Amino acid sequence: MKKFLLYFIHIILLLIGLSASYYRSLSDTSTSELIVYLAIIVLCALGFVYSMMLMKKLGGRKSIMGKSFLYLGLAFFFQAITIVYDYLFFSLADYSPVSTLLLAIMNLCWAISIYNFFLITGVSQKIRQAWKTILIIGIVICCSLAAYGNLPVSYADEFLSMAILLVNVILIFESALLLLYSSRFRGGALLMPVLLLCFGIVFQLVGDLLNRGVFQVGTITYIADDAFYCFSWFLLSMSPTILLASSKENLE
Amino acid sequence: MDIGYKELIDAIITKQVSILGETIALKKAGKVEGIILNDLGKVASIHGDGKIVLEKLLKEYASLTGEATILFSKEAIAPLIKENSSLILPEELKL
Repeated sequence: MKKFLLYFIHIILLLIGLSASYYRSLSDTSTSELIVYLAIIVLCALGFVYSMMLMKKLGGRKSIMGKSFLYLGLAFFFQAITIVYDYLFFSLADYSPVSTLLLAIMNLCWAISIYNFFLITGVSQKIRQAWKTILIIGIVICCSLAAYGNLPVSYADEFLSMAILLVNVILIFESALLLLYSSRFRGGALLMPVLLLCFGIVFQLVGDLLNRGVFQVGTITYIADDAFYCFSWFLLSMSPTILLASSKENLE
Repeated sequence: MDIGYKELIDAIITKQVSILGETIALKKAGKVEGIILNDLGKVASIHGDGKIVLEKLLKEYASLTGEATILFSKEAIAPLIKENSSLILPEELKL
């Protein structure tokens, strides 16, 4: 019953988000825009809560899986905060790098989460070390770019967008690699959450890159992207949900 | 120190603690018939055929991490196997 309820809430939120996206494409109303945002925020809130519950069950920061879910949860948190910030401070969005910085932090949380899932696939020490190096270099470059972006406001967009683009590229490679190795979870309850996470991220990032190059300061979704985003957050939020739903059989 | 199934099982559980966390890893080990854990989460003793107990432990962990369980377990027991190559291992754990 509990399992059914968890899935049902997600599906309802997805349907609400998709319907609002459709109405928004017919006539661009602020109500339908708000509904799409709200659906994504609730999906993120659920993803955050479930990820934190799993993190606690899995030993917190002391275990690899605990860390994976901790950073996944933080990614949900930062996405929700970004949407709220953009909605409340819409007029500031074009002049302030805050929302782009929040998105950069969210992307870094994803990168660290995927890296930790990647460690559980049992890949060789050499590959693990190579990915750790790429991740550390990527984080250092992105933080440097973001720091520059914070100095003169006129350059903020450029530097921060470059930082996010770089993290996007790292994320797509990481997700693709994790997808490749995910067959190693075959027969285990972790397979589906990992697949959902990878597809959710790839779906969103490829959409970003195809539709409008990179993230832009202050814009979360464009009308055409709403349905795309909503579906992507549905997949991402289902990742911890599906594991939590089966926790009685697998985590107890 | 003589390396036996108890040490192999202990090494696998220790590895799983670093992956799944202490609570889940020990709960799953505790479910396996034949494994007795002490208060520190170490294997106190094993009852029955060590090879079968080892197989059951792998199966229990595989319900969560699937086939990757075999890879971690191989990694965890590799140094121990070098010290006692005469132990009969389950087919999937053979190096």
